[in-house]
Amino acid sequence: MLFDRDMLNRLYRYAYALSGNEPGAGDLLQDTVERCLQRPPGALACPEAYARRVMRNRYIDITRRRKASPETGDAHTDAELLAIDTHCLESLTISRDMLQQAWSRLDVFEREILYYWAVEDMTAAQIASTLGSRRGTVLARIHRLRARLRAEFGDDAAAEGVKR
Amino acid sequence: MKPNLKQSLIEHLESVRLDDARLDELEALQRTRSARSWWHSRTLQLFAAACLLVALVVSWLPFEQPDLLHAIAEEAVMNHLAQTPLEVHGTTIAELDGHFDQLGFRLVEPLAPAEGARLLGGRYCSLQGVTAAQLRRHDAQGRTQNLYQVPYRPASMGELPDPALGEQPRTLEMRGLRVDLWVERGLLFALTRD
Repeated sequence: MLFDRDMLNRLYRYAYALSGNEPGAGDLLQDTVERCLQRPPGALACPEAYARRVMRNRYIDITRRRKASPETGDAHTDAELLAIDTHCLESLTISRDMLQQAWSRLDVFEREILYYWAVEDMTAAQIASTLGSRRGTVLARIHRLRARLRAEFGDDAAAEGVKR
Repeated sequence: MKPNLKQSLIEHLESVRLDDARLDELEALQRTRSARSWWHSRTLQLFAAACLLVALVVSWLPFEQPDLLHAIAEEAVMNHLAQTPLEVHGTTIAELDGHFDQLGFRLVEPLAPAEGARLLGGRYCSLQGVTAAQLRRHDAQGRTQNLYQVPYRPASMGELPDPALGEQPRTLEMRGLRVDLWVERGLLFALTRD
């Protein structure tokens, strides 16, 4: 079997990170599994990684990059970007309920960043590489995401300071 | 104290799980579809490859696509068997050529010598709707031969041997008769004999 139950759950979580909601994640997962099954048996060295790529491309196709183009980032100077990395997310505190509220309001790129950072423990450079994006773009989005969470949840999402 | 973002994220994402029924469905899908999808796509690939192979073989073996050629040979044989009376008599091509002014081409003396054969005359005929010349002669043993000349269309008739290039005529057998087919100077020749 191409995907065991653990893999299916991991892929479902990634689908959830992309779509932002469980019904959308279910559809995306179903579509992805069906597409992967089109490949001949044994043709995929790493089915899960392949499935993630298929899933992401599929999601982009579906949404036609309407709002959340990963390449549209804020312009930041190198000096600003040096002060940003995933570690600046470490200091944020937020309750699970608040996160649940915020989740669907994040854009797909932000959810992907959070997914790879939290679940896969990736750095900004690794996330950028995985998403086929520039590191600067990822850093800029992390910076904006942090500011947004802090603004939205005030002191609740505030921090004890940015750990460098 | 509130958990940090990472911890909340992990807890939140771990709570996102497929239920057992959905997992069972996806596993069943994989069991049934993996073999079928692969077989289906493999079948399509094999079918496409077979079509390509057939197209290549057909294009490489033009002698194997002689539907029109067979039809011409068949019609020549039918004319041969009908023994329709000649319209003009003569013993040389030059003598007969003047009669055939509706052909759109001049009669051609075949390169291959018809040893001992004697030309009797000719008539107009039609081969697959194209006006052709039918020349009748007797061989050394007095057996009847009919030599047909008609414009050659390589696209529909396929490649045919050309004696000028040292090639031997192509031979078909129809209704107990032998039909030789070849090309000379832009004309298709068909020779039927008793």
